[in-house]
Amino acid sequence: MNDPTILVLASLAEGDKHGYAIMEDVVRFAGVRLGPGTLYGAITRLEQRGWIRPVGSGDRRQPYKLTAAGRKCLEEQVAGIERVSRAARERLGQA
Amino acid sequence: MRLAIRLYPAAWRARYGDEFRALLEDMKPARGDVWNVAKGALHMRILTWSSWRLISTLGLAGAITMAVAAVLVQPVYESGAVLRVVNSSDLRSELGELRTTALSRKTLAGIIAAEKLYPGETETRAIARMQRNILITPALSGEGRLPFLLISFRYPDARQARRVVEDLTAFSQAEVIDGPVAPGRPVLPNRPLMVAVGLAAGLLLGLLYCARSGWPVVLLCGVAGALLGVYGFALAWGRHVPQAATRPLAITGFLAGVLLGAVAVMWRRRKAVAST
Repeated sequence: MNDPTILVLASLAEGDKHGYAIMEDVVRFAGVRLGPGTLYGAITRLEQRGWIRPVGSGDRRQPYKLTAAGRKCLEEQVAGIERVSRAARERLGQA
Repeated sequence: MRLAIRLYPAAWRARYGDEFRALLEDMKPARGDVWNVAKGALHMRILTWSSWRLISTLGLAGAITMAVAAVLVQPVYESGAVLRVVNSSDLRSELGELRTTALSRKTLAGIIAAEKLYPGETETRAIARMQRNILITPALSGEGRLPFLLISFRYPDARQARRVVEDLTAFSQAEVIDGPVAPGRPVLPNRPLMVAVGLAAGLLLGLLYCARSGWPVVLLCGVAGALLGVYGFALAWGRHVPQAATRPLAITGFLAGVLLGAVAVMWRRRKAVAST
């Protein structure tokens, strides 16, 4: 599970974060280090799709927020991952 | 790293540049991150480019790559000689004798040792390479259909190529009417052809990338093109396609089909975008 867009969405599901905070959080919960180019590529795509949006900040460190559409997308993705994971666990148990 | 950031499109930098720089200051980037940023910038550029810009850039990149390769490839020179055979009836026997004596393993091993050809290669490999690079062909020339033998040899060194042809002509009884000279220009690589192939490959790659959403159409056009290439030829000329020509015709037809298919997909998409 290392699709950067899902990792960023999952990180923002916890609360608003700026780029570096997202990067640190992803390392913590997924053990994946997103490169700066990869992270901002994902942020750009997610913002264009309307799944995240910037929130007001006087700082250069721009925090982002998960939108309702982003939350729905993340829920769908997680449900899909859970389906696959359940099926895989059952099959591994049978083998 | 600053240079890598500058690779991003200006519009992207205007929107994300400040926060991206802040991120880089916080994280203290490693060496591998420079490549990650450059890759991200390239991806971002490609996303913002129009199809035609992407296609022309890939075509140009292909042409430049092949131009560099053409400069780096070792040149190959060809030296040749023309020998006149007295009777046309002697041409076959002269050719057979020359091929038997001049191209024998013993003769070639002697020439390789004397001329110090193919350094660093085993004798067997050197002989095999030399046999591939020697060409002895019969010809009938002029109104009198005069019989000739043409001997040529290709090698990275022009003077050595000439000396080998001299050695080979010594095995023939025929009169040398045009002796070998050290060629001034290499026959290989064909640099304009290499650049043209690079350009065409880049353009095709770009076209296929832009038309990737319509890949079934592109593939179908390719298959239709291949079939048309082979069977269309047979229908148009009313004769059976020779076995040796089948594959080139199929490949040419496939590529032409893929090209037309990709252009059609892009043209259709452009029309759809214009109408919305």
